[in-house]
Amino acid sequence: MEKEIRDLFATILQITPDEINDDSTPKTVKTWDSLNHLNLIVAFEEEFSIDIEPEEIKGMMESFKKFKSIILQKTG
Amino acid sequence: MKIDHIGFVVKKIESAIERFTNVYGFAVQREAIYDTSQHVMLAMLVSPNSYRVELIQPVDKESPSYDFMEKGGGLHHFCYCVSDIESSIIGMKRKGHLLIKRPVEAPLLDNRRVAFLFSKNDKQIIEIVESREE
Repeated sequence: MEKEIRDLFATILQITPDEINDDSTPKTVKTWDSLNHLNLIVAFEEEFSIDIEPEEIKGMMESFKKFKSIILQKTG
Repeated sequence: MKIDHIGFVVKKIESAIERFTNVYGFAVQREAIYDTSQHVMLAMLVSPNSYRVELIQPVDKESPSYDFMEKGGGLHHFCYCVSDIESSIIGMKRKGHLLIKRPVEAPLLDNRRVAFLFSKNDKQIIEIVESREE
């Protein structure tokens, strides 16, 4: 599951999966801006058939670790 | 849906007001205020033929439009008037929109409630504002 998350995350941000780790943030990943963050949310909702609440969206931009944990929590 | 205004992100709201009024002939409808919920300075201008432009200056990184400003700013969103904000959100979610901010009162818009959505098709931010009660 973690690999699927990393792969989709990388695809949307147009980078390679090995460019992402748990410490990745919008500061370290150039293409992770607020607009692409919304593209990520949409892609993950569709791919994993989950609903992400408005209150969760901003926090998921904290780090890849945080992003991943919320996706795992919803798909678990 | 009727358009209430167009949101335009700027780096310095005072110089933008000066530019829009002196160069493009807009009038100031609402002086700049600080919107605590969005961490932005906001001002409303109106063109001679009644188009409204909301100038938005993000003040810190907590603002959702901060990195948009860092990339140069400019046209940011269309804001549409709706009669019932809750049912409009449900309808727009069914028609390809992601809700990104639940309804909250907007000081610049007479404390009418606004919500923000993201169009999955157009990859654009949309604001909706409830109409004034008659």
